[in-house]
Amino acid sequence: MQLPNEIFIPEIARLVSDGKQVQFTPTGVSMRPFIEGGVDNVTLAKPADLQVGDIVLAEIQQQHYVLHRIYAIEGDALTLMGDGNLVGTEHCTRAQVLAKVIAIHSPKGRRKPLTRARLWRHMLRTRRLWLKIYRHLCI
Amino acid sequence: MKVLPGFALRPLGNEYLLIAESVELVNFNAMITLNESAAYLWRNVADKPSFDEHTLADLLLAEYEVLPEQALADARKTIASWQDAHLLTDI
Repeated sequence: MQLPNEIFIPEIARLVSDGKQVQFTPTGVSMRPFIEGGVDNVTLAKPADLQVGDIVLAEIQQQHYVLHRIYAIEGDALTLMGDGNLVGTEHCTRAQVLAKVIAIHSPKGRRKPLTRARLWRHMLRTRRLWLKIYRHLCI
Repeated sequence: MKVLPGFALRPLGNEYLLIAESVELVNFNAMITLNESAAYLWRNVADKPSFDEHTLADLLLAEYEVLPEQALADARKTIASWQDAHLLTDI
């Protein structure tokens, strides 16, 4: 079942800040090919530190949340982007990061690799082609 | 029958979430929502070594103004929904 984000995400944030890990299945395609929305499930925890390449849950505007990768950090300012997006980034501060992904599992329970996706992050110009190939082969 | 261990009841908005939860991990993939009366029933049988439809019916009669037949029918429906959600085990 689906809870509305404005109820669900603050509950996740509260549990994570209490020191718990939280598991759920995110929706959407913005993190392909690393997280398949509606299929893979992610485990979130309180971020001890934040680095470029981490996948984080952030509140980028009031009650507007994304689960995207950190593409750049400049002091307190973070630039986020969905791995499955061709254009468009989001900006937030460290304080707006609610949780960090520490594991991704396929529906069968297989742990998917959690990398910093350095190659993928720099492949923006050919991303459209790779996503098209991914959609044909994997979905 | 009795309830399976490892579920926590969490109020959220106007309803309650029953979530598979250990000390460290809260799993929203294994979750159902309960309304007020279902949450009341769950709270009162969660620690019981065993219960049946009459246990739930008696709880409903104690708390709500319903006829005994309605209470039993509601108790049966609740048990069926908990069984569908794999929350119960036969002893």
